[in-house]
Amino acid sequence: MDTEISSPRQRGHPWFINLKKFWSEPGFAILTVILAVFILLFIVSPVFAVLLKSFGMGTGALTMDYYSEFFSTSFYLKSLLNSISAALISTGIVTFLSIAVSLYVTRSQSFVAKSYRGAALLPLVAPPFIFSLSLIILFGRNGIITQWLDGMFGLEFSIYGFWGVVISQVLGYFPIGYMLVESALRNMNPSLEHASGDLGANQWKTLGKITIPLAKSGIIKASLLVFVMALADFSNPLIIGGGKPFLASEAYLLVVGQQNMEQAAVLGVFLIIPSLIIFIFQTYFLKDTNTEMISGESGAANAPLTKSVKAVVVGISTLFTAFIILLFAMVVLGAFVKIIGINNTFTLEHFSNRNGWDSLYTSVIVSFISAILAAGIGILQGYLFARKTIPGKKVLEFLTLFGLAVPGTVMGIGYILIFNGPPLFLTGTVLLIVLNMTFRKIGVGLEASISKMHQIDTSMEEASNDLGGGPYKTFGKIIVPLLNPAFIAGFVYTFMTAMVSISSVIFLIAPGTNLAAVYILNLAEQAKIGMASAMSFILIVIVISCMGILKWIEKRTGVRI
Amino acid sequence: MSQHDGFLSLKNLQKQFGDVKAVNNISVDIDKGELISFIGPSGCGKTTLLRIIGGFQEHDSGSITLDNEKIDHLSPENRSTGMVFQNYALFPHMTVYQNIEYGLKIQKLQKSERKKRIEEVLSQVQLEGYGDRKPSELSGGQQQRVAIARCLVLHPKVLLLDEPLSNLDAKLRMTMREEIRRLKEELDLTIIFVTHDQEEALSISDRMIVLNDGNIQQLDKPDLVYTKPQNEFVANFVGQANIITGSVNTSDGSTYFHAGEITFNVQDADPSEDAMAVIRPEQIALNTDGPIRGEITKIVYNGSFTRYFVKIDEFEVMVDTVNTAYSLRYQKGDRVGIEFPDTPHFIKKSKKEPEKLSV
Repeated sequence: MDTEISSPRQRGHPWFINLKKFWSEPGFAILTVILAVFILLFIVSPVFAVLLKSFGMGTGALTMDYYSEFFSTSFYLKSLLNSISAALISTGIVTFLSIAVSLYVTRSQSFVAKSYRGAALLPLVAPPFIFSLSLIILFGRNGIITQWLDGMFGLEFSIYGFWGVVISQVLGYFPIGYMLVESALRNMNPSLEHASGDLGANQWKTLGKITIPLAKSGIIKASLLVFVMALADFSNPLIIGGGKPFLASEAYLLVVGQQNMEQAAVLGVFLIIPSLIIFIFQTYFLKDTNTEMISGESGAANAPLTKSVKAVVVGISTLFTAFIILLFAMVVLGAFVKIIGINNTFTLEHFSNRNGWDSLYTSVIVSFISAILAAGIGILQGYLFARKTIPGKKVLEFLTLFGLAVPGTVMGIGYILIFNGPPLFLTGTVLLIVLNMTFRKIGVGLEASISKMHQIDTSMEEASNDLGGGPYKTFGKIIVPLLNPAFIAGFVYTFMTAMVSISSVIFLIAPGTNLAAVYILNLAEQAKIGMASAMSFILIVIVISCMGILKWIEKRTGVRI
Repeated sequence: MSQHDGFLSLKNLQKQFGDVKAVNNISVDIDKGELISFIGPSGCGKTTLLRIIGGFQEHDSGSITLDNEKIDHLSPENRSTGMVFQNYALFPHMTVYQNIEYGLKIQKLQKSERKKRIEEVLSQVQLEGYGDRKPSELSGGQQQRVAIARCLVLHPKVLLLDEPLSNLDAKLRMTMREEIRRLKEELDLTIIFVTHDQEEALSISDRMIVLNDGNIQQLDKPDLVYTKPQNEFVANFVGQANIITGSVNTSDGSTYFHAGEITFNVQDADPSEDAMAVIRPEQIALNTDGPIRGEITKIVYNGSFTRYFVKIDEFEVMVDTVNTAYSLRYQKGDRVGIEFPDTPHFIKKSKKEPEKLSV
């Protein structure tokens, strides 16, 4: 950009000039270096550790033995096959449902549509395995519906297994896909659809020829993200998989049950390869699709849905959101009755659980600290990356965002490998959990603040300069307040995901310091459905109240969240 | 230029972006209390030049002195220049008062002194009582005044305005022009005003600099720029012009300009084989019986005047006639007489083809 505030005249190799420019504000330069070291240490090195471990590093010469073990054991191959096929199927279903629900929500102003949106986003605030839990309540071996089917028709049926995992994934990862598809459909210039209608196309035709092609990059992005998350799904296979092997859960069992780090690392590598490919594809190939072209400033509203389209999207949306609400209701009910479906007397006994409350407390504290750190580092990094000359900036940005794409299981295993000995012996400390949660999520604050920085005209900083503010004063007085929304976006996202995160931290908790999500998973595995439901319920309430408090702050201070 | 005091003096300024000379060897002396505008099409270097003066852009060579002090290598905060940005760059999270206070706080002024200066400047820009508003609660014109006040409060020696009126609607633009002139007169401000709007530059400036491709095309008072453009570029960029290439000959003691079927008497012109006459549309008159005849091919009604396009031989000339209650109206296809002024302005034919205007 030629609008950069220029520094004294320079001569020499461009790389050298950049380096000189970089050091011209030593405070920011030192921060950048520290940041780079942390990114390498807490995002990159764990992944490399897993890669090296899969070749037997640390136990003698490098070897392919663990890979040949993988390919000659049908159990491992099946875990790969199961993970990929479940992820593919759930991605397809989520994408389809996202389009239908988004169409309804974005093309209708009604209160009903808005509440559908709320219901669709509900799974965000719950642990990722919440649906496994309630599916078991309904369709498990002693499930309410299973019992009824057995009694009425003598049908033997249970949800455990591959399809149970698929259904749980669809429900659990739906909000992620939905949010991206919805924003793609919302940002589209409505006059394009009006034009299509005006030229004689009916709404189905407009949908197929205009709306969906224009939202294509958003939809592809959504499906890729859902696929990556479903592939890395760890807790659903553990609870509802019925012993069927999946990559992430199998890697966990190998570490915890057999201490077979090398074999677990091999499974981790198979988790990370697809994530890495998709991440690179998304970063370098998908970003070019021009969103400016399709976004318009036209104030026109979208045309209302015609009858036939409306019937279809409303039908799908209603069935789906009703199902989500039913499953949530099951968890709430399960929390307040003795044994749901068997002894439905009201009780609060599931809530009197000392360990549960302790783990909730730990989770809140740890998530809060991580969220502050992740958001703070994210916006600082966003500012530095958007405005400063930094050698190797692109690489650092790539690595930071890569942290978001690394499956939690891989990160967890990597952290054990790196921090289980000198020079940084951190295993079992709360600090390590905080670092893990923070650095996996700083990419969100980074992206939010980079995009916010692009909206802040450089003249704002120049004006501050002109009025006498040096670089640090300008950062503190002008940039930080303007980046508030990005900070809050990073904070909210990190806090929510940290509260319910499990696949990575499950490797890092020490006896005595439990986290709520991990604790609930243990309860569910032990079939203590009542207690698991009660803890999930409290967890959901806490997350929702935190969001509520933020909304309240937003109203009070006028800071847009 | 020796008659100017060089309160702000630019000497041989050069700036190159890659192969493009954005600012090419520019020297100007600007008086204290003068309003000078930089005008030119986009990419002519006017904004770059302004940013160099403000310290936001480093120049490759040349020097800048302000009030007898060399300011070349000072950073923006250490130059006593005040920049008003095109989009105003008001800090959205601060009130009007806090925006104006920002620079004073950095100068570590006492609170009471700050208050005094802010109230003074608010009254100068006629925004008393607006201190508690946020920039988003102000109209475009008010935001503009705040941006100016934020600079003025620091008593800059030069005020730099980067296309300050381009975000305002036509009516407001007029008002703000007057406003800027008024502030200039009242406070004896030295102002550099960047614009691409020739009408704005003509009406607001003491002197104007017409720039193209990083070069000064003309530096003059507005009326001279309009009536005596130095070259074809200036003639075309500032106002509308009929430029007719022909010859100037003397016979029987009279001097004639001659181009195809067009021949008319001129005064004070040197004989030449390729003379370019610059004739403004309002300098030509139409009549019913003149010797030079043409046909009206297009008529554009403009409210206060009507523009006729008249074809004479291979030439097409624009003629503006004021619409009074009595003026004659012509129809498309009418054959009319054309009366040229006997004092056209002649310019030298430029060596290279004039660039396409990109306005």
